[in-house]
Amino acid sequence: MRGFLFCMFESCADPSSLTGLAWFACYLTNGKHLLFYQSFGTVLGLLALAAPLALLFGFAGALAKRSQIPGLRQIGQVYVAMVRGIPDVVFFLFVPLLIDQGIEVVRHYSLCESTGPIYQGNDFVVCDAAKMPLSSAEPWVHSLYGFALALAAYAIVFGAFAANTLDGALSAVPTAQLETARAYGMNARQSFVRIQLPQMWIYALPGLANLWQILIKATPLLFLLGIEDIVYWARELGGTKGSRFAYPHPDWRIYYFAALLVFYMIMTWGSEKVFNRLQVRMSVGQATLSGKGAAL
Amino acid sequence: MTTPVLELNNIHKAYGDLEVLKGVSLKANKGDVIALIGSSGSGKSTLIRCANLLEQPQQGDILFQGEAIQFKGQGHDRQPSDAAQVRHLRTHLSMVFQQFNLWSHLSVLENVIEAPITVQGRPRDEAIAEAQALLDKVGIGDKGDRYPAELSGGQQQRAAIARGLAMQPTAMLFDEPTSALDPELEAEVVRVIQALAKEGTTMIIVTHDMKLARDVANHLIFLHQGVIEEQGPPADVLDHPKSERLQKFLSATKA
Amino acid sequence: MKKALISALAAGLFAVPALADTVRMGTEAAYPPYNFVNDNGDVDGFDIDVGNLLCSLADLDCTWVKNDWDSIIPNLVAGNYDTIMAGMSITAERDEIIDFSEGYLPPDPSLYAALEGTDAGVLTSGVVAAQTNTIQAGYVAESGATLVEFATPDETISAVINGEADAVLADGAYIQEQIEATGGQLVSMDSVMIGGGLGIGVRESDTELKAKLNAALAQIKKDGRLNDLIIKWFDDESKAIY
Repeated sequence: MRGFLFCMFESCADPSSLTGLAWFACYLTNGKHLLFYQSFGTVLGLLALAAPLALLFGFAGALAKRSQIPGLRQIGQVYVAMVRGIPDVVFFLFVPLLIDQGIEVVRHYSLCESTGPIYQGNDFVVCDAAKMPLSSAEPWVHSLYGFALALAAYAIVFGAFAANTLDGALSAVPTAQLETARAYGMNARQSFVRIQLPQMWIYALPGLANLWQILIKATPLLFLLGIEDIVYWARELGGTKGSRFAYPHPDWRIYYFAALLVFYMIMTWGSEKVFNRLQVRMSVGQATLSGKGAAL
Repeated sequence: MTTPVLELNNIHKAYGDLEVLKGVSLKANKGDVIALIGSSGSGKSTLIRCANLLEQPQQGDILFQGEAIQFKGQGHDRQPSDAAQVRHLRTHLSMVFQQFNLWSHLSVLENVIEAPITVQGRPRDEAIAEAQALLDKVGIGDKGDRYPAELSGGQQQRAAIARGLAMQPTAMLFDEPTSALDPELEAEVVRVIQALAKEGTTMIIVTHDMKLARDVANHLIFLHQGVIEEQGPPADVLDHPKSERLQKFLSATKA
Repeated sequence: MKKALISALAAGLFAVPALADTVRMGTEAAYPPYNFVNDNGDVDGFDIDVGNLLCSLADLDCTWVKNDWDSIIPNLVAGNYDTIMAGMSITAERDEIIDFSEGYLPPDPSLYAALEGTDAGVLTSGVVAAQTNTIQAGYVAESGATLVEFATPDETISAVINGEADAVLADGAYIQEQIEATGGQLVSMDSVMIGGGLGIGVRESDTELKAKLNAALAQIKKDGRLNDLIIKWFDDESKAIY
C-alpha cells in the first residue's frame, strides 16, 4: 500500500519517464481513473435505490390495477399499458425532461416576479429563481439532481413492469386459499395482508429476479441521460490518447469495455445466485412448488 | 323449545341459468350431526357453502341462532348487507374443505392460530396453547412446525379440523372431508369426526361415505337435483329407501 | 502551515459571496484540442481556455457542463446550460435555432484522413465517416461519397482504422491530433474550406449574455490574448488573425 501511494503521489509527477508496471500504476490512479472508479458507485447506488423504488411503484400500480374503485383502476391500467407499450429509451428521455420542465414551470409561476412567456420561439425560458437547481448551485447539486431525475425514470419504467409481475403473482395465489381466509372471518384487508401477500412472493420472485437482471443491464442508459456512468468513462478513457495527454496510448476501448463486461457478468451471476437461494428458502414447505397438496 | 343453531329456509341458488338449489330447507339443533348425501351435482356442496355465505343464495333465509342474515339486492345481485353479521356467522361456523385448504405459507401450528389471533383477537400465548392441545387431540401434536405440503392428506385434514375447532365454533361444517383421501388415510379422519360427534359437537357433513353418514349422523338428508328427496334417521333412510332415486344412488355407491 | 490553514478557513467562512452571475457552459469534452477531458478528469482545451478568460473579463461565474454532441443544441434551448463552446462552427441552420456570438476562431480547413495508401478517389466515391450534425457530415453528404455518421468524433476515427469507412472528415486540428495519436496509421488527404468559424452558441432569447460575451471577446481580440490562446492550442500563426 505504501509503495502504491508513493507511486501515486511522487513518481507519477513525470509519467513520460515511467515504464512497465510503474507506468500502469500511475496511469490507473490518475484523476480520470478515480472518476471512473467512482462511477461504479453511481451505478451501484442507482441499483440500490431504483430497485426498492420500482417495487414501491410496482405495488402502487398493481394495487391500483386491482382496485375496485373505477378511476383508480383505470389509472393503474393506463400506467402499466403506457410504460409497457412505449420503448424504454423513449421513456427514459421523456420522463426526466417532463419532470424537470414541469418543476421549472411550477417554480416559474410561483417564484418569478415577472412571468414572461416560458416558450419563446425555440427557447424554454424560466427566470433565474425558477431554475432547478439554481444555476449558482454547486456542480454536485446539479449531478445529484440529474441522478434523482434518472432514478425517477427508472422507478417509473421498472415500476410498471413490477406492477404487472406483482399483479400476476397476486392473481396466481389459489382462490381456495383466499376463500378459506374468508370462511374463517377475515375481511378483505386481513386476507390480503395475512394470506395473499405472503403467498404472492413465491410467484413474483422469478419475474422480479428477471426484472432485476434487466435493471442491471439497463444501467448504461444512465449515460443517455447525461450522467457520467461507467460506460461514459470507459469510452472516454479507452479512446486513443495522443501526446497531449500524460499517458498516451492507442485505442484501448476494448480493454475498458471488457472490464465492464466482467463487472456486469459478476453482477448478474451474483444476483442469480442470491435469487436462487431466496427461491429455495421461500419455497420451504410451500405446496405451490411441488404442485400438490393444499394449493390445489 | 330451544332455538336451532342453524336454519336454512327455502334456499334457491342458480349459476346463470343453471339452477343448483331449488328450495332446500334444513334445521340443525345443538348437538345435531346432519349428513348431506347425493350424487355429484345434487347441490349438497353448494348448500353447505351457502350456510356460511361463501355462496349467496338468491332466495331463502339463513338464520343463525335465530337471527336472520340480512340481504340486499335481488336475484344474482343479492348480497349480505351487514359485514359484521357475516363475520359473526363465519367465526361461529368453522368450515373444513375437501382439499383441506391449509394456508400453504404457514406451518401447521400457525395455520391453527391464524384466525383466532387475526380475526378473534385472542392473545397469542393462549392461542398457541390451545392449538397445541387441539393438534394433540387430532393426533398430530408433533407436526406443529411442519408445513402443510410436508404432511400426508389425512394429517392435513386433521390439521384443518384442528384449525376449525380453534375458533371454538358453535357448529362445524364439513364439505366432503374424506373425498380426497386414500382409504387408509380416510379412517384416521373419520375417527376424529366420530370423536367430535361423541362430544356433542354440532356438525353438518357433506359426504359420499355412507358408513360415515350412518355412524356419526343423527339425521340424514338425500339431495337430488337441488331438492330434498328423502330425509330421516340414517338407519331408516339407508336401509329402507323409499324413492327410486335413492335406491338407485345407494346401489351405485355400494357397487 | 497551521496558521495558513486557519486563515484560509477564515477566508472561506467570511468571504462575501461573489455577486457575479452564474453561467453554465456546455461543451462536448471529446474533441481535442478544442475540448476534452484531461488526465485529471477535468475539462480542458481551447474552448475551455477561451471560455474561462471571457468569464473572468465579463465578471461571470462559470461552470462547465459536459453534454453529448447530439443533444448539445436541444439542451441549450431547454435551459440546462447557457452557452455552447464545443468547437461549433457558425452555420445558417444552427443560427435558425440558436444565436451565436462573434467568432472566436477563424474558419479552420477541414481535413480528410485515411489509412496510408488509400486512393484519393474514395473521397468522392467511397465511404466517408463524419460526426452526426456537423458541417463535415453535411459536406460529405453533398460530395458524392457515402456518408456514415457517428455520435462521437472518436468513433469516426475508429471507423477508418477498422476499415468500416474509407476516410474521415473533421476539423483540421482534430484530424492532425488523431494522426499523431494513432502513430502513423492515418495520413491526411485533401483539405476543404467549410464553415464560418467557431462561435459561442447562446439561446436566442439570451441577448444580454450574448452582448456580454461579445464585449469580452472584442476585448481579448484587441489585446491579443485570443491570439495567444490560438497559438497555444493550435501552434499555427495563420489562425491568429485577430
